Amino acid sequence: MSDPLEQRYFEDVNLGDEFEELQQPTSEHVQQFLSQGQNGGGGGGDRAGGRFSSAAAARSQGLERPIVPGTMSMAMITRLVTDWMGPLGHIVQLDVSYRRPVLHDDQLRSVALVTDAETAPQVHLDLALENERGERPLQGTAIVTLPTRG
Amino acid sequence: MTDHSYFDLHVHSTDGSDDAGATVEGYCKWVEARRKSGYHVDGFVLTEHRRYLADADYAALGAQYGVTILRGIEVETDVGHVLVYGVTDDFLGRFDLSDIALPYAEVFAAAEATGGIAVGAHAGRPRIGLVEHVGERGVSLETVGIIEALNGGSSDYENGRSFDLAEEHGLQTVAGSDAHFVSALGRCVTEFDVPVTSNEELVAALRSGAFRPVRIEETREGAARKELPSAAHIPSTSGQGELGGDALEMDESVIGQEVHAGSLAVTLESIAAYCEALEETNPLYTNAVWAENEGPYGTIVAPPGILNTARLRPGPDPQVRFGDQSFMAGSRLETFTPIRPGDTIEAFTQVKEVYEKTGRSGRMVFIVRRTRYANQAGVDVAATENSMVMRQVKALDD
Repeated sequence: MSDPLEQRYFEDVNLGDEFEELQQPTSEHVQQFLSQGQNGGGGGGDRAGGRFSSAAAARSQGLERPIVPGTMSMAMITRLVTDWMGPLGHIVQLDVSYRRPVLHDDQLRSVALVTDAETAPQVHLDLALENERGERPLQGTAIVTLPTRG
Repeated sequence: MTDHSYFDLHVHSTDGSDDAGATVEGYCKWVEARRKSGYHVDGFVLTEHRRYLADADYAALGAQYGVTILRGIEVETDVGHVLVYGVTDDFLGRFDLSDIALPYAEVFAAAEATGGIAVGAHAGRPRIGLVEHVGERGVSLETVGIIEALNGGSSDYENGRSFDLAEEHGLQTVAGSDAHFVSALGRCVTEFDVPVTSNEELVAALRSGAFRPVRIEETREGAARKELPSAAHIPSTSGQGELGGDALEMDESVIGQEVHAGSLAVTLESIAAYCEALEETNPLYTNAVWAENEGPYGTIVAPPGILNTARLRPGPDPQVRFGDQSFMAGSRLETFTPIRPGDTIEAFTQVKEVYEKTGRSGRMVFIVRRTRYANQAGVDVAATENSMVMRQVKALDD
């Protein structure tokens, strides 16, 4: 796990570098996240008919257990990147695609891999959430800028 | 081993596939990195979804990195996805590539007749691979000679089903990573007994029959070959949904119309609540003293992910009449300026595009919405794009 207080510099990054965090989103975490949804003016909460909180609603939609909202999965992978890059880093762009559902209590490994670090100050990353079943329910990419030592 | 060549025959890029996150140059750099680690990859074939990059010229890029970059296409047929190599104008002129249910037998026959060759992609996947269509509908394999049996995006079970089909029907097999992201390229590759440097040589090599699927670790000098999988001993995965054939009904007039979708008040309290839900400990977002004295902005700022919590009005409705459930398919976040406590963020949303394709769960329709976020000074602070997929679902208890 990266120390978010530690500043990472462009010169310290190499192609193929890998970093990770372990996360396990519980039903309580999901409820906390959904409770933020009152902000914005468009209505909040579990708007999708309960699949984020209700086992019965989830099963009626073909899901084994309640699922983690895609926006929360994206927030988790975003945190991996912000922790790694340090306070002076900047996310230029972060893209994810949701391949499979993330279920409540899944043991997740958030992992990132440096795929390009040739042109300062930009670093390209491949991102993924992996679960204990060997699946990658979320995959994506990020472009970040890091400070240079010069 | 030097007589052989190794190609990833199934690769998607941002040049032609909406769901890919990798550039062609990114793939080239990754091939360089793989070679430094002792793996053998000579090149790859761009097989964009339903799009042939006829005008793309990758010669200079390929020469720069010493990588052979070839082009094919992945089309969608009534028995699943099909990879076509050696694509010609004659072939392209025979089909509407936007059709997600092209007649497969005609696609295989036309590829052969126009100087190319077709391969059944990820054959073991539900709905979009040949196995299920052979097993359930008894479709003929008369025109099919090769299937992709080792696919980097398929599960072991799905690949096992592909090998079982090949064994049963005497089909030849290739491998492709089905890469959509840089680090997936070369996960598995096809080993040819001859060098391949052009699309024509690729077709000739595939027609020769002198090739086999291998995993990337098997390309190392002296590496042992692992036994190919059979589905008989691998836990299964399940598919959902049915392929539909109806034309897509929607209101195209709303595409591109931007409307105000809501306001987001960012406060110290809302930042703290967000950080608690995500177990966020970064002092840039959580420690006011640190942020003021040592942070780059002189104050706490909001984590970029906080925009994910905004519940906005959905914006214009394209009135797509399809499916009975929608799920998030993808998201993009672009950040321009830090969001600070006290900011009032106005959100403006538009429907960017609507399109359909087929996947493991059958036919799907995607609606992509782009939202621009501006602060009280009218400065754009970020933008998001969210892609919702609409499809039919089947309850587990049915």
